[in-house]
This record gives sequence, C-alpha cells and structure tokens, in this order.
Amino acid sequence: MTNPTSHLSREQIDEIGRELDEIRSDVLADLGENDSLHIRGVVRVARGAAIAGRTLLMFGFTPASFGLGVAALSTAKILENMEIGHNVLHAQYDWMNDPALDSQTYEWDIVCDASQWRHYHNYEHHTFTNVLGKDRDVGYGIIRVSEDQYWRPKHVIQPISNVLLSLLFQWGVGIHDMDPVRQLAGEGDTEEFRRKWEQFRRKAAKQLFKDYVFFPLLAPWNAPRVFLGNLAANGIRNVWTNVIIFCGHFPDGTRVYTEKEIAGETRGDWYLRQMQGSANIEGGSWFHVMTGHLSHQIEHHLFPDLPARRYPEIAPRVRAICEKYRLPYNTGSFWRQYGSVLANIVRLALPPRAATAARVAPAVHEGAGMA
Amino acid sequence: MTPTATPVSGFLGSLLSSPWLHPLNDVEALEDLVGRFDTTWSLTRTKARVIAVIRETADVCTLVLRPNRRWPGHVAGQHLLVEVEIDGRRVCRTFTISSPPRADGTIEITVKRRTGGKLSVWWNERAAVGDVLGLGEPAGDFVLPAGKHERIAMLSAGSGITPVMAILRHLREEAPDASVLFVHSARSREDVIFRDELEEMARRWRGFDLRLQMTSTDGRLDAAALSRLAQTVGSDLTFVCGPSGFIEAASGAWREAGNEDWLLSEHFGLPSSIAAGDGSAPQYVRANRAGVAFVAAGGRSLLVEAEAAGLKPAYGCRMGICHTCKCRKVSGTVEDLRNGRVSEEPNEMIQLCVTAARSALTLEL
Repeated sequence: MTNPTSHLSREQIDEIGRELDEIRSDVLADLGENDSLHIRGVVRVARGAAIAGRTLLMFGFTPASFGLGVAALSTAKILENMEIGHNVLHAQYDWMNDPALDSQTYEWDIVCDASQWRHYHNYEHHTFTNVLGKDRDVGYGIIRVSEDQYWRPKHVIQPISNVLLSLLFQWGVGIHDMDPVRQLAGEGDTEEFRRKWEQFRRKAAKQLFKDYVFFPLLAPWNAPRVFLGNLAANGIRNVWTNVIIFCGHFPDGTRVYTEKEIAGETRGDWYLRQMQGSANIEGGSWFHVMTGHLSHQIEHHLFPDLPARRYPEIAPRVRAICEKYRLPYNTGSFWRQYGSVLANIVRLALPPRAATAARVAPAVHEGAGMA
Repeated sequence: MTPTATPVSGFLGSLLSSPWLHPLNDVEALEDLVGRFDTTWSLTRTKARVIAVIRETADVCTLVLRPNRRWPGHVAGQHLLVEVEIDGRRVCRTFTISSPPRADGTIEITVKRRTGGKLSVWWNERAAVGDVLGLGEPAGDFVLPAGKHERIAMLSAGSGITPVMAILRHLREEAPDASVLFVHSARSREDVIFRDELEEMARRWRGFDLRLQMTSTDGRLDAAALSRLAQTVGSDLTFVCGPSGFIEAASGAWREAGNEDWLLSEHFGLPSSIAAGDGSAPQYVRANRAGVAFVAAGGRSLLVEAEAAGLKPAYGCRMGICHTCKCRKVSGTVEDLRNGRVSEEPNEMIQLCVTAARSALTLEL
C-alpha cells in the first residue's frame, strides 16, 4: 500500500499537530451545560428504554410486545454501552465532577470489566492504534483485516468466525484484556492472567445471573420469555457494536502500521496515524448517538476524551485540515463502509499471491499476541 | 466491589447493590425521579434552595438557604462544604455559615467574591432565588465551648467576620446579658460586612462594644495594638478569625500575655495561586497516600518526577490519552503541559503525565 502521508514535510506534520490541538482547546474551553444536559438526557432515555423493555418482556403475552420489549431493551443496552459507557470510561465527562459519570468508577452493562476495558482500549488501542503486534484490536487476533498481516490457515474460515465474533462480541471484548491466545501459547504472565480471569469471572457471573436467572425469576409466569428476550437484546447489542467498531477501523483505505514506523513519533505523527487508521460512517443525529458517536471514529481517535457529541461539530474542521494537506478522510455510508469490511474479510481469508507476499512480509513484524 | 470474608454473602451483597441490577436498584434514577417533583428533594443528599439574596458590600453576598429534611443542623461558627453546578460542572468549596441555628431551619452563607474563584464569582454574580445547592455536613470547632461565658472578646479581619457573626447573632439571642467586645478590621467602612446590623446591635445591646479598625485611614492592627488588646481582654474567652498573618500576630500577642489557652482561632486560607511560580521553579509535592514529599522540577511532568522520587503511580500512554495516571490534586496550582493552561482548582482530577507543578502541591497519590 502506498503511504498517503509521504508527501508531508516535518514542518507540515508539526503544523497539523498544532491545528488539531487548537480544535481540542476550542472544545475544552466551550464545555458546559449543553454537554451535561446531553449525557444526562441519554442516561434518562436509556433508563426509560430499559424499564419499558423489561416491563414488556415480563408482563406482555403477545409476540408484538415481545418484539417491542426486545427492541427497547436492545436500545437501552446499546445506548448504555456506547454513548454512555464507552464515552464515560474515556473520561469524556470527568470535568463534570459527577460521581455517577466518573471514568474511574463507572461500571457498564456488559461482561467486560470496566478496568480491563480501560487498560486495553483506552491505553493499548488508543495509543497504539492499528499498530500490528501492539494494537490487539486489529482483527481481534482471529480475523485478517489487512494485507499487512501474515496469512495463516485459520483465516480461511474467517467469514464464519466473523459472524460468530459479532454474535458473541461482548464475550470477545470480555476476555480480550486477558489475552488468552498469548496465554495458550505459554507466553503470558500467569499471575496477571489469573487476576484478570478472576475479575472477568465475577463480572460475567453477575451479568449472566442478572439477565438469565434474576429477571426471568422476577416474572415466573413468563420466565422463558424474559430469558429469550434478554438473550435477543444482548445478541442485537453484540452484533451492532461489532459492526460499528469494524466499520471504524477495517474498511478499505484505513492503514495499519508496524512498530518500526511509530518509533520516535511526535504528537503530529500520532494525530496522522489516528486519522489514517480510522473511518467514519455518515448518518443522522440519532444514528450517531446509537453508535456512541463512533460513526465519527476519526474525530474520536484524534480526541478520545472530548465529549463525543462534539465530534459532528468539529468534523468539518478536521476534514478541512485533511483537504488542506491532501490527506485522505475516510467516510461513507453505513452500507458502503460495512460492505467494504465484509468484502475485505472474504478477500483476505485467502493467502496473498506470491508476489504480494514477497513485498509485504519483510516489512512486517507480527507480535505474539496476533498469532 | 470490595472483597468480604464470606464469598457468598460478599457476592450477593455486591450483586444487590451493583449497578448491573439497574433499573431495579438504581438510586441515581430514583434521585432523578424524586428531583423532578421538587429539585431539593433527595434520598441521599442534603440540598438547599436559595430563598433570598442579600448584597452585603460591593463584593460580598449572602444567600439565605432553606435546606431539605436531611439537614442535620449546625452550631454557630461552623463551616461546611457547598456544592453548586456551574455550567455543567460540580464545584465544591468550604464556606462558613454566618447565621446561628434558627427555628425555621434556614441558614445564611456569606461569601466574598475572589477574582478567578469559580464558586465565589457565581455566588456574587449569578446566584438567584430558586437555585439549588448541595450541602455537606457542618463541621468545625470554632464554636462557643460549653458553659456560661460572661465576658467574650472577638477579633476578625475582612471576610473572617462570617463565623464570628454567627456566634454574635447567637449570643444576642441566647445570652443578651453577656459582655462582648468585638474588634473588626476592614479596608474602609464600605467594606465592613454586616455594618448596619453591627451598628444596630451596638445601639441596642448594652453589653456590646464594637470597635471598627479601617485600615485605609487608621492603619492595620499592628503588633503593638494587638498587644494592648491582649492586655485589655486578659483571660476572657477570645475568638479570632481572618487571614493567617492576622491570626499569627494575634496568637503572638496572646501568648506574650500568657493567655493563649483562651484564644480560639479559625484561619481563612489564602489561595495558593499567590505563591504560584512562573513554571521553571522547583516545587514541593506532598503525596498523601504514600506519606512522602518530593521536589518536582517546574515544567516536567509530575509522573516523571514522582517516579524519580521512587513512587510508582499507575500509568499508560504517558501522553495524555488514556487517563490511567489520573490523580486527585487536593490543593495547589498546576500547568497542563499540552496547552499551558494553569489551574488552581482544589480537589481537581489531573493527569500526572501531562501536568507540571506551579506551586506547592498536595496529591492523593
């Protein structure tokens, strides 16, 4: 793949860094009541949807009320995980000093433990975005999403593994920080693995108890219906979050990097990598909220700790910087982006042709975590 | 979240109070609901509504508050933590209650406007009848000791008058026979907070001796004046409240007179910004949890400096992205190394990897 940033001089990269820093400062200076009203409003909607969904599942008897209940509960879970949980855990609302929205104490409605998420997502993924061997989110260790990754026999089935991963996405996210692949290869820190396993086990037990024992038993006359409804809502949330996250990093045109490339990176370089490693999805304002504003993955990766509702308003400024410096700004409709993700997953399931492999292999170092 | 002795009850206990059973046990949601009927109603917090705004001087304002039923009551002279949401941010400060306990449950808090002070500026410029504040527990030992006190002296400077006023108002109601000498120092007559009320008291309360020292014309209460005062007062119970320099001078005079045991003082701290350096000077940093202090070079990140001092704060990206090294700054002035923004907010969360000390700091580290 040709490097779309090779035409930039050192001075230009520094200047890009300064211009992006200015956007960040402008937003920080403007944070206020509208941002707090927004997040509290979303919290209310999510709460209301959860109450409505659980009530419909517990007290309804018709298929229609089952469908509505599942829809409401999935909406609640999606909002809670994405616009609230993901963003609160990024410390986007820490400036409010509201203990209910504090990044260090918030716990979310998913089997992934919040502290583990903060480690591998906020630190690993957001610092080493799309760096092979460092950012374990690149294909989650089972899917080959870039030609720069070595092909392995397990990739042949990745069109199927992708479907499984998306259906079970919360479990993938839940065990991700433990790095089980590395542990199985005998290369992990056993002590650390045990500690994380224990954390995960407790969190997962609570989640399972809640959705598949507690709430079904609260409505014994409808227990199977509640059980199935919760299963469906968790499943819909799983697929939705997986699809949105894959659209953010793996469509055509997003770049992956090697550890060598990022040695000695400046702030400007880091910003450039964030822009080139991410892709946006176009849509209306409710669509953006339902994606936790990860539909503005480029802006999110540039400014992960700014309140996400600000991304649409700063997107034109980021885009203008890209145009000014002749940089790609990867954006498209949902179907275009996800279509391209799926096409890549199918295409990259097969080994590269000999010529391509010879060109790519020497430059790439794949870490043990990817094996 | 905290591990308990028996795994089953620990598990069940944490399960029942856990956020994963929401909405069933969601206290925040109930709070939100209750608050919709009346903004001061709450299941967990003491809140109060502003029922009157009284402008005392050009830069001092009193808010009269009606707390909700969770208010435990206070003793004249105590202070408390006040929380206000300003532009989406919850801001917390300690203020003194300037009123004595009252039958109708209302309290008054008097605050002087301080340039750059978020809450004090809000108090003086934006507070309006109907606004709702959060209150902490009243606390402090600057109160009348048990027993009967026939003769009492009070000494205050500037806004240090507020706890003294609460005690004065209390004495006026409860011990009108007591003799009270009150010496107050302020820049000019216009700057004397509660002046009308004090002069009224002086006219109607026989045992009350009011002496105002206007520093712009009469000069400050210097060591000699304080020493004379200490002689006059002798072993009468004395309250003193004001800036630290004022308290130190008074303590010195009372010690000299051999009556320091009869002096009760309340110190109004100065903002640390006054001591803030230009960014290059090394600063003392106290790490509260570790119980150590170290010197941080100005302009270098607190993370690097803490590590150099042998501490091991949690960290991740070391460039301000991941918030792993987040730490509570109890007090002091810091600079954000990314944009040079200087902040003196107490109890503020900072990211150690992109923050440098600009004054002596206390960190929860």
